[in-house]
Amino acid sequence: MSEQDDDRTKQNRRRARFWALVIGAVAVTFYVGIFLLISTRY
Amino acid sequence: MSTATDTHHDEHHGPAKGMRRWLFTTNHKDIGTLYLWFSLIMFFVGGAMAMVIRAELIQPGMNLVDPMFYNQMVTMHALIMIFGAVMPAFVGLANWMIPMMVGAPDMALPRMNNWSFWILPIGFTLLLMTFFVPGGAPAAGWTIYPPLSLQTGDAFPLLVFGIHVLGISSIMGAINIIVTIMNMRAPGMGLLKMPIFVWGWLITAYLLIAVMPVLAGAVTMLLTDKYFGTAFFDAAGGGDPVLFQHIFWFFGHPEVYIMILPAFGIISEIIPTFARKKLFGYSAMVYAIAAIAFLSFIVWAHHMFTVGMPVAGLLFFMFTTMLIAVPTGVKIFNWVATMWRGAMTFETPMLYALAFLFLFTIGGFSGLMLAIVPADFQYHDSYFVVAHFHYVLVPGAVFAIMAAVYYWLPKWTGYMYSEFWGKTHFWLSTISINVTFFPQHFLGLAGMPRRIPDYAVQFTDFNFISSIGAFVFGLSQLIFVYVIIHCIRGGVGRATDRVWEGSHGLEWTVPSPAPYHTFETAPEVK
Repeated sequence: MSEQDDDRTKQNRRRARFWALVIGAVAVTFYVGIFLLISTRY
Repeated sequence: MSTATDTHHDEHHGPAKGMRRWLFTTNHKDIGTLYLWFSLIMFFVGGAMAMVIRAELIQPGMNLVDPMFYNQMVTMHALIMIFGAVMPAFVGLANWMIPMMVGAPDMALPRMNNWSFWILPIGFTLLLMTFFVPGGAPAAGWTIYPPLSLQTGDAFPLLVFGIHVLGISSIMGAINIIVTIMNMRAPGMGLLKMPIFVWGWLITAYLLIAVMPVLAGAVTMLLTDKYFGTAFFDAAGGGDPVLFQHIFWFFGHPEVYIMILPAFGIISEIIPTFARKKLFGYSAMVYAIAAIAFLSFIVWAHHMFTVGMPVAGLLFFMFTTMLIAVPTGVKIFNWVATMWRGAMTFETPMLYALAFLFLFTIGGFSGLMLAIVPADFQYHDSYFVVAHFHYVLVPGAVFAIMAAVYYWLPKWTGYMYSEFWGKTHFWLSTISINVTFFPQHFLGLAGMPRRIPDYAVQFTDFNFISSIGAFVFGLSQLIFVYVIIHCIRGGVGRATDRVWEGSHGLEWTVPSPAPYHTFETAPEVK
């Protein structure tokens, strides 16, 4: 697996990890956001 | 495209032995296999529940189970088929095929991939445990509308936690698919060179990221309404039960496309192969998928026309819903145009793809009927709706999954499956599925309500026919299992690397069965 990756793949995975964190943060924002959106209605 | 399967490291890193291989695997092929077996098991669990439903409805009167248990069957059948059978099957196919199709050595985040799968059985254990707690399993329908769903017994927190776990699994899977496609493609594989299956999944993954948190938010609000004194959906406390329906369907409608866009991708792979022609209108197909995904966010209230919306709202959601027919029509046209003057052959995957084309379109047309507001006032909550969504989900999504399994099984196992038994499975399934669901259109138009264990005597004949069809369909699926196991154990002979005469793409350049590690050195795509 990762220990046998060539440099290109290693770099790709690093970039992938960064974007995974960004997308994960977006998902969590949606989850919290739906509460905030509705809580402010009442 | 050149073949570049560097097997240099293979001898050091074959699969582990025994259970450890499956528990700790980070290999995309192993994880794909786990997903596919899991979904097959869930297909039979959910199918057994469908058999109970159809046995109860085979004649009027209370025949087999009590009404509460019937409602539990209806609810759990839906939850298991959607979250346990269809979605994991597509994720399994994505795991197996996407890295090979884009020339990547594996998914971008292999350890997270392992977690994405292994929390799935945990989620389903929670869901299935609900049968054994006081009050029984959830029985308010898969849409879990309050206030009815808030009457669920001790099963409720298990249901909510189960949905959270399944949601986390889906989101992690989706993140992995997006970052794999965006970051791990072989040199030369531009976005508009990717196979359509990869495109279908890329867009589906974005839909998952956008809507699964919304479902999780909605069920958490239900939980706090039930146990922590909030009143999000409680009119007595200043809340609004219809608000739940809006939030649920903001998730629910994109969810419908989550279950069909990967199917569109599969059909777009299979038809060119067996028509021996390039896919007609590749970029139009990509834009059509994107357009359908976009529209899926602005049509949700067509599921709830009867709640009493302003006319402007009814019109907006009616017209946006009808707009979906445009990109879908583009896709159907392009599939037909791909076959036009092609040198077609009719192996089992192609038969399933063709059945998809005809029968999914029937489901699409009944969807258009349901989109018409005044007509929907009649059809709402009737068996017409049941007929509609089963046409898009069974001969739609499920047939596409079966087509994909027959199409790629030789690549996975290294052996050819039995065409005779594949075709027998196809014809039995296709005839019986129509016998099951076509009469349900008539039942709905005649006024039979859904989610009811008993009915007026004038509905007897069509219900009897429908139940017989369902039993035949259920039994036919044993042939599917036989074909798969027979193929794994040697089938009817060795598969070639390319398997199908008309196949194109990187996955067909690697040996059959696909080696444990593929594309450790990226191939050049020209």
